[in-house]
Amino acid sequence: MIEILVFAGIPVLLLVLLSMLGATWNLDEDSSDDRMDHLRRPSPAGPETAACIQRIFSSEDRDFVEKQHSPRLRQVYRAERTRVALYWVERAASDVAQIMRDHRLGARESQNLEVAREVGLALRYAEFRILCGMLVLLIRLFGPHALKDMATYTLDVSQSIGRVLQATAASRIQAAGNLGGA
Amino acid sequence: MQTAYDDLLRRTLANIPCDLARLIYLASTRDYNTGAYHHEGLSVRHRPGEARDALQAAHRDIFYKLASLSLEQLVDELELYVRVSREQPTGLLRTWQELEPYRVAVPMEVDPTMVKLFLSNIKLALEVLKHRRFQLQGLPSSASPLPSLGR
Repeated sequence: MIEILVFAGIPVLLLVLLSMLGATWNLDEDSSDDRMDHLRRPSPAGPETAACIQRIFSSEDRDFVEKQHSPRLRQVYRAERTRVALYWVERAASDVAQIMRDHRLGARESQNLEVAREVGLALRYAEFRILCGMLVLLIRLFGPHALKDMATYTLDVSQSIGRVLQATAASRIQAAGNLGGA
Repeated sequence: MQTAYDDLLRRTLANIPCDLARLIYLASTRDYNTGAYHHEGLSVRHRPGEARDALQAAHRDIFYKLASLSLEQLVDELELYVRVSREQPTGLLRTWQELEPYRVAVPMEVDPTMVKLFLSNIKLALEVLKHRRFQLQGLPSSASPLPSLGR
């Protein structure tokens, strides 16, 4: 029983800790780019995003920087790449949170809610949030380079949430059409 | 739009020696206030709407191409840009580091993470070129003329 509590408690504790730290870990060093963000419409995660994630979390650039034999350059590189990696995680988390909020609002008014799909979606979203929290923590601790697979998986999870929500929205529109036609 | 795009690539962009210069050129065809693109020659040969779309698409394509380069490739690209600009490398690098003019070369409505990565990589590429310059001269600090970066 104690083991179950410990195993169940660790992710919850981690989430609480991360959300508390979130207030101070909000990319405070990042400034001017964020100020321009409102000018850019959020784009759906396409092949460019996947390639971008591969690049951010790849060790190729780090190896190149290592070859320059400059401690300063290494330091600047690590700070820059960490900043970009954290930016992606926070942005992905906030984009998915936004579409989940929109979905919740829509679901409240829905008359034919598919419980199984909603539960699946909620679990997928919880997994996504945990992955984001762990990514933030691990990027802060070790830098982004050992986390390529985890970041790619997180992107896959966010895209799968998007696909489920698209399907849900489509079926809701169809149901509304049927009701209107009846 | 495809015809205008091909025309833009063939007649104009092919004559620009590197992608970074192409990016800056395409950004310069965009109005700072409205964000609308305009190219006199292209608008004469094609419909204004098509010319605008072609410029926008080319701008975005070049940006994505540059943003997905490895840091090493971007350093080479920047080195080439410095060489073909015919400006004093010292001044150009300092200006780019201080004023960050490359920020305005970013197209609108592109993946924000990609924008972030691109800007960060340019910053790093500038640091690499600066470091190489010091290494070539055996200097621990700045305030010395920059040797030819092409070598």
